[in-house]
Amino acid sequence: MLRITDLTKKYGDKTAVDNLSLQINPGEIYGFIGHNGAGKTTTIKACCGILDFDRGEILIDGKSIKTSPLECKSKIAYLPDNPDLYDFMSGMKYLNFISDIFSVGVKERKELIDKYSVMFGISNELGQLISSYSHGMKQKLAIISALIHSPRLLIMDEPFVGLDPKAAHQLKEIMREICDNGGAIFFSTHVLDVAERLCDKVAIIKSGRLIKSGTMEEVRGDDSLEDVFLELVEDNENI
Amino acid sequence: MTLLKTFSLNLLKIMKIFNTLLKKQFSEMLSVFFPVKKNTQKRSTAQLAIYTVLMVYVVAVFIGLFFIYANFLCEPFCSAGLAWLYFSIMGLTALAISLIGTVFITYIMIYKAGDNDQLLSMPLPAGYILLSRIISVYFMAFFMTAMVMLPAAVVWIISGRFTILSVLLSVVSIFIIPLLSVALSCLLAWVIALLMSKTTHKTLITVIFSMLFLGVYFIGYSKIYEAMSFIATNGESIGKQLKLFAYPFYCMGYGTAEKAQYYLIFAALCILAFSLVYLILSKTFLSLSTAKKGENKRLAVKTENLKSSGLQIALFKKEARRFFSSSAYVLNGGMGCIILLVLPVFAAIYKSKINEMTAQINITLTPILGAFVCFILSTVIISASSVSIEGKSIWIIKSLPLSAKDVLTAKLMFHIVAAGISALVSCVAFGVIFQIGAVDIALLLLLGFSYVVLTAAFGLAMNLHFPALDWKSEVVAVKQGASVMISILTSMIIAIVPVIVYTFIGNLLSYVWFLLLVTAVFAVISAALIGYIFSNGIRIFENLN
Repeated sequence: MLRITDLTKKYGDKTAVDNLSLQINPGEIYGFIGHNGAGKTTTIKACCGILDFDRGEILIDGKSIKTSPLECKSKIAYLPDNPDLYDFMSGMKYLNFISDIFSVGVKERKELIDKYSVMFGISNELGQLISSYSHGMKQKLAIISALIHSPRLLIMDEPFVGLDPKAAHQLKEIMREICDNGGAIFFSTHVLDVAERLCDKVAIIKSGRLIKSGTMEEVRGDDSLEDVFLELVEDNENI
Repeated sequence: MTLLKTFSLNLLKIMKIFNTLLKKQFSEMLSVFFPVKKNTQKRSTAQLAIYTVLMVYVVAVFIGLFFIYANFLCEPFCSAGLAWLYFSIMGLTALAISLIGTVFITYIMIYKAGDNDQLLSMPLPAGYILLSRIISVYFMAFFMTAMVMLPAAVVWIISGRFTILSVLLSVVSIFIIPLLSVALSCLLAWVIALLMSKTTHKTLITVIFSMLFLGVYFIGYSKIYEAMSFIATNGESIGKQLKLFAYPFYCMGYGTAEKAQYYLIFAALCILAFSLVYLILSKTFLSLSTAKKGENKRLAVKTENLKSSGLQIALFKKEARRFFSSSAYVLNGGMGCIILLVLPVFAAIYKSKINEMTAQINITLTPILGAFVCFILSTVIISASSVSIEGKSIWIIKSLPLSAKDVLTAKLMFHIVAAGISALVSCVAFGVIFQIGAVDIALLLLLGFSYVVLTAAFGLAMNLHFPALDWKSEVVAVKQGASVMISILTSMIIAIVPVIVYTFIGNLLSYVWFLLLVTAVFAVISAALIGYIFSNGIRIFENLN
């Protein structure tokens, strides 16, 4: 579903992502963990075609994000870490706009908006301007807009930040449902407990370099993900 | 001694905090004009050079205009022994100019700044935050006042009637007058904020206030030449009126030209007005700046009413919503559209006068109308901030399956449609009012439309080169960006150049052929610019973050 090969991204002299390679298969929830400034957001943005990169290749369903960006983007949905949405639109108008761009049929968009807005408890707020939404409400709206075109690959940057416990639970359920239907999820998080319980595979990144990846069992072994993460990061610092 | 030490330490602390706040305000303003490339912290030398040239050009043009204005007033008043009235009128002009320049943005700069919440959460008195915002408004007003009062002082010196004290006081006015204009701007901003906090019809309130101000602006603008002649010939009676209704400016003029102690009254009144307004604003700053944004009323909407649109229509609608949702965007980017829709009404009222004038100087009206429409269209700069206005939400269109060409086309099209409709209405209306005939109306339409496309494409190309996405207040994107300034100035030059050329070759070429030639030139430049946008522009847009 998503194959990242030798991805390298530099900002001036600083290498933000260095020769990173990953593969996310259909049906997998793939967690991406690392400290602040490790290169998670840069990698995610590059996968979504928002950020150009210097070297390497990113393939979505076999298509290159560089040479076929529109084809790739029509299969994915991106949820940023900070949902800066269109404040000048109401929630409903925003969802309708996203549906128009993805050519979602009117019947289908109505059903999905009704379903997800009720699920996330914002159906009564959809008529209001997004500028009046709280951070959590914006996050919920961004999640609905990401789901409205039934993406094959959901790429999320810290998706649980700002969500109330119920919404976070709903999102986890949806993530599993997407994977059960043959889709895939690639998301970054700092909440290691969530990653441990939710992810099939996990990758740990430090200073732009992949330091460990594999199935949860392979990475974690007999320890907790938190212990492994801390140990790996410290080991790496000592080298 | 201890008390004095505590006082000086506290004062030092206050100064330090305030200095930090001011630095933040000005670095934000500066970052719009000289955007820093991400991760390099270096400003481009080429950009710096362009801005410097542009700023010098703008300042020179305005100073030149106000020099002519001051020269026009100085001699008649001084000869009539009313030198004080000269300073009063120049002071009032400076007040009007600085008020026009700040009134539209003060509300947004004070109450809608994106970092209000963040700063208010810090251990800073709300009054300091407010004062730092007011000072940035003062800085703008100061700049505009200087463009009026400096030429006034120079003309006064040239007249030979000056004393050192009068010159000094006219320079001091550059610092004092902005206090009054900032007080008035802030008071209006406060009234708007107060109304906003109590109503759900926020957009309506903003539009009503803006239209009211625009109405006053239009009336003032249409009367300016009449007023100037009236002022020059009726100095004495105006002087009496001024003393009665604008006493501070009587004191300012009389103090500068005659008795300096009157100037102290003027200065005291300005400082008093500023302090009072600051006190009023500081009492309510916290509650008004943190009032809930957007509509408070819950609006139940049903998905049954949803309608689908094609990709281009959806993008076009998004651009339209963005434009009409922001009074700052409408007033700064689309002022020309509104003017073009209103002007035919004035043209109908003054039709006979205009016809008389053109008959007297024996010129055909069509090319004048064409130049006039183009000049007004040069103030339409919607596309020049259409990329910057995306701000931090630019990730949305970049992550969606949209080509950069589609996005840029929508931005271009919205400008063309908005300005095109205004141009169409005004050209046809002018044509009918002045009975210039169908062929000339068609010529006007062709010229107007080609100019609209040109300015739309130029504005967009400039905004792609000078985007400002990291703004905290949208005013920064729609008013203070480099692309906005470059676009408006270049568009004005493009509108004026054919007029200059026509004065030289007008007798060699009929106006019909000349207008067709200008249209063709505009069309060729437009095609080149659009070609540039769809090649290099796309690449620039794809790399924006």
